[in-house]
Amino acid sequence: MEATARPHRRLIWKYTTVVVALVAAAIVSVGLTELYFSYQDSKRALTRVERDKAYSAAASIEQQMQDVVRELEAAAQPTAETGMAGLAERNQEFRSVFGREKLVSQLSYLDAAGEERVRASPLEIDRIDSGIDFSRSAKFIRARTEQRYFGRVYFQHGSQPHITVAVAEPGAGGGVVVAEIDLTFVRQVVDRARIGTAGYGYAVDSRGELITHPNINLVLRHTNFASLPQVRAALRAPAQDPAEAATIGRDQDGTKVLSAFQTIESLGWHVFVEEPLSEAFAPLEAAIWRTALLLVAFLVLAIATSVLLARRLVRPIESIQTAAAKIGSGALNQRIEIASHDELGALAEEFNRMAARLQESYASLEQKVEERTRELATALGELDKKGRELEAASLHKSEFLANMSHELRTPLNAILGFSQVLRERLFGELNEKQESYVDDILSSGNHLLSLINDVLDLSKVEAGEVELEVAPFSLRESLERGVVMVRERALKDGVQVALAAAPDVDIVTGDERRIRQVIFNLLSNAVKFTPAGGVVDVRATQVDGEVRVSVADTGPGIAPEDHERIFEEFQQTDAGVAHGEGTGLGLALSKRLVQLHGGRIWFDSELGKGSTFVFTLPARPA
Amino acid sequence: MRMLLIGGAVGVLVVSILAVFLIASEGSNGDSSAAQSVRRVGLMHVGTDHVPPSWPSLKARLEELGWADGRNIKLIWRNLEPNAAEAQASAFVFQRVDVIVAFEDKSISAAQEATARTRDPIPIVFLHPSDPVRDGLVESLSRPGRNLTGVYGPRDVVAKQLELYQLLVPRLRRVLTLVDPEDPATERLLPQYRAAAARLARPLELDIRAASSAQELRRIFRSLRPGDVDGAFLLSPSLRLNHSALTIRLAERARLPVQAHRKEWVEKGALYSYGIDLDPIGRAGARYVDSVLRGTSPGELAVEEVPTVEFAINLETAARLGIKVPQEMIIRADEVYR
Repeated sequence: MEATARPHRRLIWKYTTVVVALVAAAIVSVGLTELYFSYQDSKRALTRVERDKAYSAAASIEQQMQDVVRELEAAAQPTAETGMAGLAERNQEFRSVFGREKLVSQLSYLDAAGEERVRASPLEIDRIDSGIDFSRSAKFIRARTEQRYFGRVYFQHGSQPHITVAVAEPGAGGGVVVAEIDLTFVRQVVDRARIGTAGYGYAVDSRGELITHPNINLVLRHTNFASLPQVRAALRAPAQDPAEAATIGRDQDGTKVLSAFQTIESLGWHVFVEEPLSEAFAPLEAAIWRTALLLVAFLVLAIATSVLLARRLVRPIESIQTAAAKIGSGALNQRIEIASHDELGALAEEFNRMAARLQESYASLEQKVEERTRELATALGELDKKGRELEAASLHKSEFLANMSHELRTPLNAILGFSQVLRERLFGELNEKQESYVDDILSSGNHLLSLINDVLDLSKVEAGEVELEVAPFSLRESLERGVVMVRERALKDGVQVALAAAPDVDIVTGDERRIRQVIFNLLSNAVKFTPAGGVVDVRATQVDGEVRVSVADTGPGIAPEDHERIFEEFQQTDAGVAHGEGTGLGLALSKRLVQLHGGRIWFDSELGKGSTFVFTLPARPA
Repeated sequence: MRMLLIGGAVGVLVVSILAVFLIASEGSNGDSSAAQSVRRVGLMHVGTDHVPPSWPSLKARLEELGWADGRNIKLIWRNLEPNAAEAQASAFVFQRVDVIVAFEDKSISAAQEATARTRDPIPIVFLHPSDPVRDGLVESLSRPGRNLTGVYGPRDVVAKQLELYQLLVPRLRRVLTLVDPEDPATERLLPQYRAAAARLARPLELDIRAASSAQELRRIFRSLRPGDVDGAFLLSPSLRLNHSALTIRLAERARLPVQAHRKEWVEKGALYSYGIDLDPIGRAGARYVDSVLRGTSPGELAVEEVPTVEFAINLETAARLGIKVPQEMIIRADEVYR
């Protein structure tokens, strides 16, 4: 179950991740783009509003100042009277100015020499002809040369912002009218320029000195705003392009503000309208929240949808997989049930068809296997029967051979014994012919005896009746004795027999009599098949923990077609048959004996070039 | 069936998203400020015969600033007899009001004394004192330094008043000047007044009489004979504050013009007034109350000067007294009663 559940889960998450990532990427990119543009838009819009407010405030201030200047220009007109009467007339004119223009807190008239002739104030007694010399003051000199003079903002009684304005009396040799203007009105104007709930306006003079600010405390303490970045920028570049006049600056507490300003050219003042960024972009913040909410909502939607979709997609795959697993484990009658008519449905159909076909072929295969198994069982039974029969036959053969040999040997012993007696002339002389026949009988009898002995041995080996008398013995000696046994015959046939045993070849463990039998067999074969003048070469060496004895002759060799059957019972090569000697059992017996010792026997031979028979014995047989 | 399920799930989700949106936008628009404790402001003024115009303007401005009386602020207005000022100041201190607003010198000094005795002095916002630095209310205008701050109007304008008197009443030669020897301000104002009278284009003669009570005032007016003086002048603030109404009646009976310090008295028969316009001072004072209530230390709030003066003429009184007011003066007046 786990094996099927895991891929299901993985696939679902794969689908979900892809869908969610796609949706998130789409929403985030759209949201960010939207936010960026609405940020730019609202910044532009807010800036425009701020600039408009600053502009109208600046225009209003300039207008009021112009009104004041116009009043002053009217008051600066030459008087009709001269002398003291003229001064009284001017004083009267000044008093009427106070009635019309509340901003003026003091008016004075300086004559052409710069001496004060009239001074009027709403708070103090007017003074005529005080004669105080102002000829060296800036207000007098600048007004005389430039017709008009605007002083710097100063604070009367240490707290009230004021400005000195001077206007020259028209005509040569005219005096100057000097007015002290209370700038408190600027506050009312700039206060109206506030924007939003946290927005505010303020005005600074050309040095950055605060003229008005909603926090009157700052004004009363003569705060200089020149250190604020937006004010510094405005002071540095008063003729800035209005489009660039909006900046993000900081207020006196370091809070970031969206700031716009307008310069009052005639006074060199700047009206700023600012709004904290937090408030200015509060709608944007709402948009950010909206986007975030949308993102979350759509992510949830995407997750839900993708899980649903993935499940829809994965469930048929899963059932196909489950069915495949069941089919795989042998339930061939399993079928997939999928209602959908899409590719998955087709796949399931194909799968079902495959399963059906598989079931079909499986069924026929089973039938065939059953048939064949049955046949095989029959054959095996027959084979078993035959084997048993064969075994019995072989046993019978061996028994028969053993019995037969025994039975044969008894009369043969009589034949051999009596013919020997005859030959030794114990019963009188024999003529030539008789002697020759007795010799024939003796030799044929001996051959028969050896034949019978071999058969007896072989049948004993095959019947498992041979028991080796294992004991250490000298292989070298056995070899030497074997050579001695064939030497006579070899000499007679003109064959040379050579023995070469390595020094380390001597004592081995085995049945000495049987090994001698093998050696003799091989030697006699070699001598027998070697023509006159040939050589029989016997060698013994120790190789890889076994003793290897080889007997090489220079006889006719063995034809390749005979290689297969040379070690079988009663098989003789054509040469052997031609010799008329041998029983055809020697090599078969030798092979059995060597194998009984745990050794091997084989030969190398080429027709016309002699043969080499080799057998091995374990150096230390078990 | 399955499509239906998915559709349903999507629908539910969309609806819930919309709901979340609505709630979120509702939340962002809603005012989250919880009802806070009601702040108490003790306001005191000495002079039961009138109410300073700075009081209604202060109250109105406070409301504009979000302090509605009875909702989040409690304005305890006390208009007092001169001898009740100290007791009331102590009472405010005892009640631990959040701010004391003191109008004019008498109540300001009472409040200052009452709070000076306490360890954590209650902030005082003063309105139109004569001179906050000279009277020791603040260390300096830009940095008051103690528990007092506020708004003050123009400094003494007695000289200007006298000058205008002469311009309005060209026949003015001799002025009955009423002073209250018990008012400490008298000592300060009298020399200025005398100097001004001497410095005018046409110097005035002064008939200076001391009076501290209504009785004494009545006695003085009764003792006047026609031609003794051309007009009356209330110099001491204590007399202006407490006996303006009486003086106007007495002067009217004596067929004398009388000056006043505020236009309300002009409306009631004084010839003219030239003095502080208290309305803007009250509005400015509201800002101080607001700042202090929001936690700013009064010692950190610079004192503001509102030097607006108001000039009012009663032409009816002038006509009744046979005074021909020059056109120039009528033009100049801020308020003309006909």
